[in-house]
Amino acid sequence: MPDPSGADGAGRPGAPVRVRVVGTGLIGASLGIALTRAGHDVVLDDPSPTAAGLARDLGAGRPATPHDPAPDLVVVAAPPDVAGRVVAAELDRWPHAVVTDVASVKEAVAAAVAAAGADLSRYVGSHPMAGRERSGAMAARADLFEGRAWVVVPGESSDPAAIALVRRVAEAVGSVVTVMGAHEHDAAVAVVSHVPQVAASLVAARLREVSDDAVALAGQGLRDVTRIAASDARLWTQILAGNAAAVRAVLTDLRDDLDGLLDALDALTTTRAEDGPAAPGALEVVARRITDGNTGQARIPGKHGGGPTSYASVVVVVPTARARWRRCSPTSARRASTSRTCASTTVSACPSASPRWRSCRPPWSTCAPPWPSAAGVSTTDGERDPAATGSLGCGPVTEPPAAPHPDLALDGHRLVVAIDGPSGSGKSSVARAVARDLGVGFLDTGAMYRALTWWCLDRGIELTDRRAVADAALVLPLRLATDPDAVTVAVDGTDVTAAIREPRISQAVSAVATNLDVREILVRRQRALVAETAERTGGCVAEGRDITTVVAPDAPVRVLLTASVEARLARRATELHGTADASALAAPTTRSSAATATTPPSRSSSRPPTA
Amino acid sequence: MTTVDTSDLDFAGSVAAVLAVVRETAGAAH
Repeated sequence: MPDPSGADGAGRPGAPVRVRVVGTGLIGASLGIALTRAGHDVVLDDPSPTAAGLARDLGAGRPATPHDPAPDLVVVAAPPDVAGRVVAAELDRWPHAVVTDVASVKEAVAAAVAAAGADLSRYVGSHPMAGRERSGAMAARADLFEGRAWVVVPGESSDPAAIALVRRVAEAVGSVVTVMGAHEHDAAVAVVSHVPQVAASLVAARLREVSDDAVALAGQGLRDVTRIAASDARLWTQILAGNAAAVRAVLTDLRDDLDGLLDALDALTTTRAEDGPAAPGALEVVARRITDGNTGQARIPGKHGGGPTSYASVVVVVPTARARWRRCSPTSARRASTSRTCASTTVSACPSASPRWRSCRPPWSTCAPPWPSAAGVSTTDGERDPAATGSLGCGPVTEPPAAPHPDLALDGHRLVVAIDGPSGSGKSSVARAVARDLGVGFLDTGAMYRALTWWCLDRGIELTDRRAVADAALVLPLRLATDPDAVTVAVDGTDVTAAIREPRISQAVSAVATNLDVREILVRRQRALVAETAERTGGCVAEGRDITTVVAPDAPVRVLLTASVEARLARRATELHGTADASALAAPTTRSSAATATTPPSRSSSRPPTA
Repeated sequence: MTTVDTSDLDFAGSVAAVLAVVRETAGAAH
């Protein structure tokens, strides 16, 4: 089995992995393209040589031959009803390889693998929550998995190294990994994926017998509800059959809701107008179904795992040149009518995803008077700005999120602000406030080291065992909320926001943060988080001890916060003791010794000394 | 890299200073 510690290279962060993809449909081909582009060696196998050849032509890898070296990882991208058998066969064929599958159901596949008597230590189920209503290699996309959840489903016998390798490959294609048990996974996807497919199909099926005139009235609501009704019937039959019990449970609840609604509608239908108000209670039942739906809809995360999406109407004036679309062919005219139809139209914008819509505050460039350079600002060479006055012209920084100026997109790139600095310089609180003001996401990279420390202690992993800690970093089930107003940290579903700030973690985090293997792993995850946050929220303010030098050295805006030793001591004393008087200053406050360092010795010289 | 010395700044001033850096850097990029 590949050693994630790097002994044989396959599991080492950055080392290419030999991946064998079995099944070259939409998921298999997309995975092959993404992994090939990431520098991994991908071999393709499919019962149809034509399908494998097509995937090859699309850049998904090379077709398998009898002379291929043994793979590190086999990804079975076969239909759910045969995935278990294919996994078992691959485990038998490649006795040192890790095998995963990407089927939409997990309990049935795991049961089939176990029934075949296969080596379960090398099997780790997984399910990328990505797909399209189209199937086949021709629908494959390299970015299919970027920012999407990838559920890793280890069994009780799964080897940690196998789990780590599957996780690494999922992250290599840009996915955000979530670890779940098979039963928990199947129950979850029944609600969020399988029943929605059934509902869409059933609603769309009602359209079969209505008149063309009626269908012609269809609007965006019907398109939204029925988009996935175009999915492949054979695949979804297999999926629903494989998760029948969980789907049935959700459908039973749905049927109860429908029965209640039908009863209410019956009551309303039989009530005559001259009898006065409608049947008592019936209207409430109807309204309750709608408001319950409002509540559920509000819980749906934004695209790629972001916050819930809400919409507002924004009037957009389309330049005359765009309006020429309407004078194209009938087909293009219809296409245009669904997006930008005329010189002035109304489109939906998403305030949560694009905070710039949130406020009508003038952009900075028109702020009157313009902000002067603030006191204490100096350039790279350390010279203080002679114009600095400390006077700030745009009001208190505690105002609601401002509208970032479009220029902050920086030539089409998302705004990334990297803030570095020693302990006590104020980088954490300042970075959060800056993110809030800009209306973008916030990322505290130090929290990741603390979360890993908490997890290792929780699992009894010796922090001096550098390899074990690095292995833990590979599979750390971490979830960081990036809303500057609600920064939370969760590990494996447990909210550890407060726990990672406890003294025991502060005292132990140094052993984790100075582990170079851990840093390499977490830096990769931090870079991905910065990019994902910037894409999702329009920007990212990231702070950490090596954010400007290692994690985001190319960030458009890099700031090093410094403060005198006295100022930092006073701030830390106030933070810890509520005062900065002589007794508080005499108490241990700043973290300064090598024992509490949070950057490796080799990199410490490039930054200001701590107090 | 822009250095911001917060020794003489309170919290609001520190935030405003960083925001000024963002504005100036973004403006310079254009």
